[in-house]
Amino acid sequence: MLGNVSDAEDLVQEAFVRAHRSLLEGKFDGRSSVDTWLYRIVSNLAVDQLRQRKRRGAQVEANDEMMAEDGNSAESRIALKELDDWMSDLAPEQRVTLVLSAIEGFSNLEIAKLMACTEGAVEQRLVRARAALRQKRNVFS
Amino acid sequence: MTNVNESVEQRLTRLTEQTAGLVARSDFADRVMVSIAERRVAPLTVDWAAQVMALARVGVVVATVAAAAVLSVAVNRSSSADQEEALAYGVVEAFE
Repeated sequence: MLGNVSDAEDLVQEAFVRAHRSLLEGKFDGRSSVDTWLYRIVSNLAVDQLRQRKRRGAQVEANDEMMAEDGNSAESRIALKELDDWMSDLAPEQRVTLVLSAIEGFSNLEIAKLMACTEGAVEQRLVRARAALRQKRNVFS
Repeated sequence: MTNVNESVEQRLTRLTEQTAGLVARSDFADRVMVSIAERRVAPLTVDWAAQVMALARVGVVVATVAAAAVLSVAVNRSSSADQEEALAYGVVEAFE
């Protein structure tokens, strides 16, 4: 979602901290599964972080030293960078929705529950995201 | 590498496969546990200023609604007093 392993680790760490706090405060009502609940927290945090990134106009900077230490293959890191560059112009909600659908394999209904929106909104985001990606691919090719 | 003939779906599939093996650093779980422990020791500080502002906002809304209600009652009372006075003097106002 964020195009950077380090940022993703920070985000997931924050999600676990929030989930733990919510459990202690009895805020998790058990209406959804724990998996769904955690994905919801992660998705919300990702949208927030991508919005902040857009506001700041910040680019994801690949820290070579940190990336070399993370134990991931060069191919995976290059692919992640390619994915991040390709999706960089998408609206945060579109990007998170597309990742949940195309990469994580969630159905539109599941995404709607995760992102607290309608299935129609999910479909619309996916259509727009794919159109934007197609457009970007055409521009580069 | 990027292939110009690749469709959006094909490219998404390829990048999904190529990034599937990405993992967190080996000390990730430890860092999460440390973070959870730290936050538990130091609970969230209460933002008093934000709480006061939130209460003030609620107060403004309640005061506005109350003022509107009082004004409405006053207008109604004034109107019925005028009517009673007019009736007492045998004056009937006709509005056409």
